[in-house]
Amino acid sequence: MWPGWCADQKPNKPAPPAKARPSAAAPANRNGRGPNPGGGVPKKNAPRINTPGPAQRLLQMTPEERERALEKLPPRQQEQIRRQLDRLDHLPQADKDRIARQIRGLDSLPPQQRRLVLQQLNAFRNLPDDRIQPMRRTLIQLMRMPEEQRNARLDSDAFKKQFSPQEQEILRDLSGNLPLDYLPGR
Amino acid sequence: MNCPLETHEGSALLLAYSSGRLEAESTVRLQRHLEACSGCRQFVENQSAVWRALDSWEAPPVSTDFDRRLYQRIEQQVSWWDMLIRPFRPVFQSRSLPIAAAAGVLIMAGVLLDRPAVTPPASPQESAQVEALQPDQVQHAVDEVEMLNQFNHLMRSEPADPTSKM
Amino acid sequence: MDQRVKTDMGATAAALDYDAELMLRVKDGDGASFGVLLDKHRLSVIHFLYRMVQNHAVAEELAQEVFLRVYRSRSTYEPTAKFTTWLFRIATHLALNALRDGKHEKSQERLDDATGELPVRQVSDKRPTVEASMVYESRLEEVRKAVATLPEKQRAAVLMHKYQEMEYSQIARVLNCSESAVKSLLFRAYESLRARLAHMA
Repeated sequence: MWPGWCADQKPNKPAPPAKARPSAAAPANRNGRGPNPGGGVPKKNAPRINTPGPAQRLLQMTPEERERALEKLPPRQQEQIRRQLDRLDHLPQADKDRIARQIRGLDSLPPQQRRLVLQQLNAFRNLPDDRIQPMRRTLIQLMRMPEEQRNARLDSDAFKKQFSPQEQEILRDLSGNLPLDYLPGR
Repeated sequence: MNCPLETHEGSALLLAYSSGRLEAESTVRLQRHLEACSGCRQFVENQSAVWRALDSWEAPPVSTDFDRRLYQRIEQQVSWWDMLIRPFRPVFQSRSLPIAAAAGVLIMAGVLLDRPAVTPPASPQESAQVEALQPDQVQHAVDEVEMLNQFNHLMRSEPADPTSKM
Repeated sequence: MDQRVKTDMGATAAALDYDAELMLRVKDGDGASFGVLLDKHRLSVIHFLYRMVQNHAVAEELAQEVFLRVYRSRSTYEPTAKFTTWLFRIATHLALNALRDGKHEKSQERLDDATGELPVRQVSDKRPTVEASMVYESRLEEVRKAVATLPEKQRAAVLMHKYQEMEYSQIARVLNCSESAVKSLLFRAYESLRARLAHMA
């Protein structure tokens, strides 16, 4: 089941450079995925080596290899993970391909940036129901903007009135660090 | 009393006074000076405003999973560190080791540890990678995949979609 | 040195020793003592880092790195200074690096009158009025901006002085400079803050 996610993908393939966003004032040595303005720890121009993280390795495991890993866990946890895997495995192939691409993109980020993005993705999905739509619309808008325009929007009083400080951080960190693969329709 | 505003030391006195950290004897002397010195009174008033403003700046609460994430990182890093350091453990415990040699070992270990990457370098052998996937990492990996799936779903959803949140 | 001073030093030494003693236990393999140190200092480290970098997620990320480094250093730990001096030296070092890495990317704050197309976030009846919230947010933003405009070392010195209530000598050891340099940093920093915030009296 699982190898179907990445059967056509070779492990340890270096991630291609991320597509540069249009930026009116991009510094000469940017790789198009620089650190998040106003926040974010990662170093600019960090090497984009794809070191497979746990998720990527999981997707590349054969069923036998996965079983060997699972059987070391307590029974209850095994059962929970099997249910999760079963659910994920029944996703449409396009969804699986997308997730696999996103995971490879994450694994090519510097470790601190990767952790920050995962943290904020998690915070996003835990937002109250009534905040999801405005956050979603704004995140999409921000991700499609040139950097200078995005920064201006993030720093505007109007923006700060619309979103709580935590929501502002989520939008700032994700819009500045998520690969464009995360936009819907890609 | 000379006017404290004239020196940095004196300003330090005014700072301590305006934050309530000045000891009693100096407080009494300074209060007598303040009665006569409008400059120092203004300083204290302005600095008190600064203290109050800074007091009002509360930090957000700590994430509930802060400790869990930290211990997870420690577990991942420490196992690698332990593998690295095991051959040198007698070195660190020995008091008779020449300082330069011990420093050299520490510098080497420190250089290696200062690398930001936690995950060991990927091996071309897929089975070797799979062997290295610890049971705890399986849960973590599955959670990560599920989170991405949920995020994608949320990003696709429109308000009319009854299943807008999983 | 009279007995009174000796007693004060003894009390200080005892306080110094407790955290250092815990760390020495961690060195000996006592993981629970690390947990005690974490419980005791987690909040102050995160809050310090938050006020330095003004991003909660980044602050927690950096704080994790601080405690990770503390734990990694356990086998070579020696109590040559107060534990908190060492802890905040690590935290300050990481914060300064983070600020420098992102410094040229940090956009300038602008007063932008542009209205957004999305509705203002709703506030329930139980919360302060919208006006009160806006006033509070506006004042908070002034404080944050005022601190953010301080040069990094001045910022670190102020945060340690104000929120950690550290003495000049300890701040000097954290920043690896003289006490007079710390006084100078704080004098200039508070001067800037008074200029920007005194109207809030």
